[in-house]
Amino acid sequence: MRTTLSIRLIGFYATVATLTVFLTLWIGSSLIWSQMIETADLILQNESEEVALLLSDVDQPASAEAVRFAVEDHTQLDASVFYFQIDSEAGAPLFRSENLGGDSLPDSEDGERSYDGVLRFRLSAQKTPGGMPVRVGQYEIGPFHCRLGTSLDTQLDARNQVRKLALASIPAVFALSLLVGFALSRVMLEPLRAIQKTAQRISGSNLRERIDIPGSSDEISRLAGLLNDTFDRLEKAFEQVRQFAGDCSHELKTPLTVIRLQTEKVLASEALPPEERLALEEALGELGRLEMVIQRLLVLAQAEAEALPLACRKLSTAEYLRQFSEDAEILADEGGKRFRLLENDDAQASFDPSWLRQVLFNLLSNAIKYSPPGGEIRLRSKVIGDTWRVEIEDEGKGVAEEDLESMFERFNKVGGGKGGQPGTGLGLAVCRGIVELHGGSIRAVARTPEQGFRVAWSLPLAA
Amino acid sequence: MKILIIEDNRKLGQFVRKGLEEQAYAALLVESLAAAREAYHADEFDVVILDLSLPDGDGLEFLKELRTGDSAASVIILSARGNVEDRISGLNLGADDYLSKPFSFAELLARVRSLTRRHERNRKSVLDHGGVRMDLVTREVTCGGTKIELTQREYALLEYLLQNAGRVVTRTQISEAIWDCHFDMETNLIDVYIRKLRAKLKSDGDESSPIRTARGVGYSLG
Repeated sequence: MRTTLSIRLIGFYATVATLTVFLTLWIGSSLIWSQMIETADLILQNESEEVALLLSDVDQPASAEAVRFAVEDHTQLDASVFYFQIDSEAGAPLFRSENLGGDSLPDSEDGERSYDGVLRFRLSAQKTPGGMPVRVGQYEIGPFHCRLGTSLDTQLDARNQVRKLALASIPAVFALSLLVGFALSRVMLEPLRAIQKTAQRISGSNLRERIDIPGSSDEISRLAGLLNDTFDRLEKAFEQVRQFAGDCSHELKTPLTVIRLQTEKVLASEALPPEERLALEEALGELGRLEMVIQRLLVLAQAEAEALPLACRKLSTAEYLRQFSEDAEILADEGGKRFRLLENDDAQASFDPSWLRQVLFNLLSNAIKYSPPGGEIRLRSKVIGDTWRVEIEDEGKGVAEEDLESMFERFNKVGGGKGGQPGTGLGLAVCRGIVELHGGSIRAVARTPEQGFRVAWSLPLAA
Repeated sequence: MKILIIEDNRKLGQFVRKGLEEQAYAALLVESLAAAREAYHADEFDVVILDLSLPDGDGLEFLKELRTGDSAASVIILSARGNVEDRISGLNLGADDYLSKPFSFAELLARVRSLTRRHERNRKSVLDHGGVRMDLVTREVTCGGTKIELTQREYALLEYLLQNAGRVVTRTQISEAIWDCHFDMETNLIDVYIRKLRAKLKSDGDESSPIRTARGVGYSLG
């Protein structure tokens, strides 16, 4: 997201900068050019007035000789700047300045009219291959038909130079503005990056941190302020969960302790009639169940709020499960079932061994509970890529496909606890809470067509 | 042997106080941090039973004061919060034990007794009690002179029982010490291991086992 934004910014900036530089040069050259044409027209006008003055002395009807006599000195003097051509009213040539080399100045009609009102004037003696670019003015002076021309060669050269420069500058300006744009986007996006980093750091155990808001009240500060407000609300909600868990534990657990202590006290007396003893022992058993429900609800609440602190350590998965298997074999054996560790891949994983053991024992005791006598409970631990996958399966009745998902909900009654003690209905919910807190996932699979039930959880190896 | 109980629930506090007095401990009950400070300055106590949620502050504050004040009293934290974070921070601050509510009195008593003897425990390399001998260096275990083979868990369990020889250790204590489980494992794993251990420790022709059952509470060696 950030990359695309900065790339967009850089691209936008570079394009705009390059276009601006190019257009500035191009339009500038055109403006200067039209200025030059105007200047040329002005000096042609001036020159025509001088020629008019010279021609005013010529008697009518004028001969070519008389005209030459009147203007030759002057045209020779100005030959470096002007071309002169004087025709009679009828169009007969009367005078051509020497620098024309015998050619005529083009007419506005028949001349090779090129861009910007410049008449191209082909002169064999001129170096320019396409002909000499000239500006021609036509003046009716008395009975004379005069044309004056001035060379625009250097001006046109200058304009073309500027235009070449404009074209040549495109890649260079583009490259330069990419660099500038890159630097600019880094500077502009730096506050955003800081916000991103802080927001990533803010998690369940670290909700107190806030994004630094720079003094100015620009868009980014407003965004940071908005995020901080959200974090405030989040922290408050989070605190409430914590508070609730704390209150709940204190308000419930302390009186429960009193009940337990009193019941135990009564039970300790020798003189208790057997029926009452039985009733009290049952009450004590229910009390134990209630205590477990509270404990598990608390763990769930904390796990879901990500407020359950994990003491993660990097451990060998194979070694960890070997240890668990020793316990599992003994427990299965005790329940008249068999336990087998079928696959045990080894990898280093980061997890809280105590909480994960809780998950394993929970799944194992379910499997033992629902296995038929002599049934086999199988554990597989596989390392697939960067995931640690553990499966526990039994040969029990299994669970209907549609119930698989709801098994992990609180107080689910799926499975029904046939025989043995009723469960809390929270065991699998707690398992899911703990696994998800580790960044993993847990799900149940119906083993069709074979009988039985399988639970599999996956954890990322580097949590 | 003097015990200071700091617990704001009067019923619970009085129950604990009476129970301890019946076991011949001298116990004083206070219901706030302020009263606790006063009592602690007025008298010396061997064990402090400390509730964390008190009307005038956090019990951990008092624990800090005790530990910076160089007090030798053992501290058992009694908490309804019961999460691992609290347990760890309590133990890090110098508490000797941590008991989550709700608890049974036998559990509390077992822990108080463990504390009063903890100071006597020395770091021996050989544990020996009632004919059971464990060499912590060679990991060799003999019973009545006969060498016996134990699995890792069985060894750890026997070591724990030997270290607490002569007094009851509760199931919760065992599951904390050996399995690092702070909540009910919901299995009879410990009882099964004890049974296996008993079978292995049983010397020929002798029906009595060195491991005794404290009904509803736990086990003791000798």
